[in-house]
Amino acid sequence: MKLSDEAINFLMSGNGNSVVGVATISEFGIVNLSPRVILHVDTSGVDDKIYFVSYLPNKTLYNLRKNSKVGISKWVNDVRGDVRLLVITGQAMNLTSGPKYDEMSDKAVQAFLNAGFVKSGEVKLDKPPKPLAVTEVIVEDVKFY
Amino acid sequence: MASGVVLIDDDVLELLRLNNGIFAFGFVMNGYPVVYPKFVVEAIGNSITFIESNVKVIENLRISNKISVSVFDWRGNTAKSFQLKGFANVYEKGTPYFEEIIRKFESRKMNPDFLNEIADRMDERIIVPKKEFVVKLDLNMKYSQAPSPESAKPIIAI
Repeated sequence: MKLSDEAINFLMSGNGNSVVGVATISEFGIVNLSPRVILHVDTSGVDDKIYFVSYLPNKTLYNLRKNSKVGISKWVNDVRGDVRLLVITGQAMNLTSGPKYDEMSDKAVQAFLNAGFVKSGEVKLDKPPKPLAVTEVIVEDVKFY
Repeated sequence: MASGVVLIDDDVLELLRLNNGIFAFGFVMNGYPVVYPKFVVEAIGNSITFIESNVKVIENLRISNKISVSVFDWRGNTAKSFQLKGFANVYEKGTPYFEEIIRKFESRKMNPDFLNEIADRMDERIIVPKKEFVVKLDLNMKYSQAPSPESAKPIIAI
């Protein structure tokens, strides 16, 4: 499924950053939620693809090995309540090598800085570690309120 | 879990306040994990309660009531982030708990108190479109996903 330009813009810069909530399911049916920084939306194919990275072993990666279904959500709160909400579901695959893995690994450095979690100068950018995995999400359904 | 443990502590409440009383609610919808924002009506001890208007959400919670709650700082101001897990219990109109929660919301006697000020300045039609169900989340586990700027650094070290 394709995302609208408005949805992509909201995903990548709503709230001033590309932080989203990512949901996965364990083999026991327990939902795991994790905040993630979206690195890129690839719109070149039949279905759009969304990318984020993991630097350390975590529940999201573990769950996706068992169950590839994933949910990505983002919303903006203002003082009157929720005004925008984006809910995406799809199928995920963890990439550990290849051109897309390398491309997203490079993007990750700048994305984390832009997210505001670290301050420029606090991290060394000359030799950033490689991510454990780059997760590629093929978009299957989108709801944008 | 040891008795006496309180999962909804000051850190969780601080994040709820920063997010205008809204938390990330994770559950299984039509076989997929999803995250939706919900407005808290009561957050105390080891439970969080909200008012739900969408019957499809309720139908899916009746299939699987295993849920997660995430409170995190979207703008990265505090570097705090918590995930809580547990089970959802649905209360329908006419049940004492449903009526109690609706009464607390409408009379602005929610707990914690800052929810009342938030609800007063928000558009009620947005945060609670219809008062069809009350969902109480009984939580039994909490993960600190970024407890401090120091401990968050290894995760995001680049």
